[in-house]
Amino acid sequence: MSSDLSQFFQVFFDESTEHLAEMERILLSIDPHAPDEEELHAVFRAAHSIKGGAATFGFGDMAATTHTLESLLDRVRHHELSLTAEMVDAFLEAKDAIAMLLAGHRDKAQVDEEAVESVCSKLRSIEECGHKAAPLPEKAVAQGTGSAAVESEYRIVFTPPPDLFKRGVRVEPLFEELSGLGTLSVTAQVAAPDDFSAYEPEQCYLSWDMTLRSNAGLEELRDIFMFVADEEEIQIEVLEPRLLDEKSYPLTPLIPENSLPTNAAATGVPALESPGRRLYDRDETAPNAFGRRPVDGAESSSIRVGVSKVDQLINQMGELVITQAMLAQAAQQFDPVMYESLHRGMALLQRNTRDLQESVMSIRMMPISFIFSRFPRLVHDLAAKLGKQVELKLVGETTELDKGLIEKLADPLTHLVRNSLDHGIESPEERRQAGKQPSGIITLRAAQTGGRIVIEVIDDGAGLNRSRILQKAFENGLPVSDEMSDEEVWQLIFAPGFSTAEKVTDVSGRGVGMDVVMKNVQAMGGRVAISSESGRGSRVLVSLPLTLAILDGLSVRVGSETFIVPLNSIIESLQPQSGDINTVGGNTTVRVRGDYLPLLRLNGIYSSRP
Amino acid sequence: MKTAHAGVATNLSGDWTMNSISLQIESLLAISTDVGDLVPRNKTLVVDCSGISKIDMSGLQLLYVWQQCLQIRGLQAELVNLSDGMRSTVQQVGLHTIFKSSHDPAVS
Repeated sequence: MSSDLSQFFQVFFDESTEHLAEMERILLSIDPHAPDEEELHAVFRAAHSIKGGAATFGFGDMAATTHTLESLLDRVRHHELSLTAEMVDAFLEAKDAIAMLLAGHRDKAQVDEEAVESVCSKLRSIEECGHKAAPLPEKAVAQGTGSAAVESEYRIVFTPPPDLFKRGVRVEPLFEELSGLGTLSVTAQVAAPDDFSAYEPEQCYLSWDMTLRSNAGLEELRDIFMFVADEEEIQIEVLEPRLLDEKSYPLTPLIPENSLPTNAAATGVPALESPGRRLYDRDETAPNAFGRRPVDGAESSSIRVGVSKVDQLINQMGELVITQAMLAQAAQQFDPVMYESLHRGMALLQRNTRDLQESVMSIRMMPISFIFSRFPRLVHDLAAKLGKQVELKLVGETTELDKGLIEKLADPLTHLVRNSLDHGIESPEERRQAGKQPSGIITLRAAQTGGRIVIEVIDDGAGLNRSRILQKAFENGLPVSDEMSDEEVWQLIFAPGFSTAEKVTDVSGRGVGMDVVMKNVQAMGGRVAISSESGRGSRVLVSLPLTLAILDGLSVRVGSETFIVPLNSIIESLQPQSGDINTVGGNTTVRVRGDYLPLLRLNGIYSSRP
Repeated sequence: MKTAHAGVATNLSGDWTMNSISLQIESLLAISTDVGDLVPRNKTLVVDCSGISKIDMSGLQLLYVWQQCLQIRGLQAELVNLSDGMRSTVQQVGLHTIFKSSHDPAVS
């Protein structure tokens, strides 16, 4: 493998990760009894793209595993086999195996080769023993794109760039793949110089004109060239659809007559101007690089930037905000009438700095779907393991929060969802007996409220068992009483080692978790609240600050020292009257709306002089 | 199976992929220089390919261009004794029609 390719691996890894995520998302939503045609094609295309890339970059194990998956998918989408729930599970396992191989190549992570082989064996076994194809459901027929069921004749003209060989691109597998799709007829043309001494051995003088009769769709053909050719280097024309197809393709000549040499020996090197990017180009961020489809519209929608660069920008922004605040403080010493223009300028500077700060902070913001997207699979697998039926609803996936919070939030949310599934949602039988639908619902909802992000994990399960929590808390030596409000009882489950589970499983019940959830959320400046109703379900609410990178603070002075208290830690500020402050049993209290709250004096805590 | 061919012959061997293509072009240039003395005009040079261990698209392209350049000089070159793998690749990538024009039964 050429070492030059290594610089492009990351893009392949990123794109493959996206393909795998898309594959999983579709597989989790697909109905095995009435699969949507387009969804089957989409899963196939994702597998196919991964296989093509893996083969191109020399990751043979990934290519082989994906090929096994692709073979079965191909038979399913062509209705040679009917899709079953067992197949969907096997596809998901195959996705995991490919992800593991990907991690092996990317991070040098350990690969369980036995597990990979086991998945491949399962796929092969399903393919061999597969059921006969069931008649296609009406829904699927109605929704079909027609791109696969209709045999068409395609003319494919592939005019690779002159530096194809130099860049180490192997085109031989293309022909193998195209042959696998149907009947392929290939004619090569070589436009080389007449004088052998002028021949450049590393330059590609070849072009191909092919005819393919296949029931594969146009997109599928394009996908084969995805990692090899730019859009403009490959021209595909539908010559003769065998049956009427709702998709129509342009039948106009796809290449100018003078772009393909008719007499190879008589023509010079073809002018293969390629304005776009392609595989192995140095600028991997270009819109067309690596065979990416051009983004709709003229401009690229995003760029990849290292996190360190963004963090550096944020740090500098923080310095700028501080400098601006210092200047504003200094400017206050000047008479606002005499120095009106200075004060006006300072106000403008403050507004612009705030706007700039918000813009810079928004760079770090990521949609919460980055976390939410992992839950459909988790719920699917866990529900199957626990013998429960669960529907997962995701609401507010586009809600954005700081990248740092996203990374730290994943584990606590995972724990909450697992808890809801294991302890909250009842078995189908129990739900029926309780007069509920056999399938439970877990809702993950995110929303921005003021300067905070609120994430809720809601289930319609049995709810928290008040008496059992109280009893368990009592057994654990926690101070409890029957007079405690529900809110106070629910808070008991955050005590370290607390669990009401009767048996310890690998899902939950060890009493390690909710306290960790609370600690992690508090470490992010967040709060956790629980509400629950017996027989109706529970709701865990996690409230977080929008960002951790820059915090607004309240400046307080104690004696000669100044402290900054983060605003997100302040619920309320008030100035008590002297009559509101009392001493009860040696402790100082402050009376707020009729309640007595302990009053702590900062000079006592920090041993500073008042 | 290796086939015997009458006439002036040369043989090619080794790696004919991009890794060694610069070396192979040297060997073909050497043959081109000598071939005029060895092969009378309008006669055929039989090129034995049985020694080629590996070949890719760049190697096939080189062989074709070399063959064409010889033809311009009035010399025919026939590729014979292609391995199964090479024959299959030639067929698959559509180069068989080009090599066929050299009347090589081994390729067609």
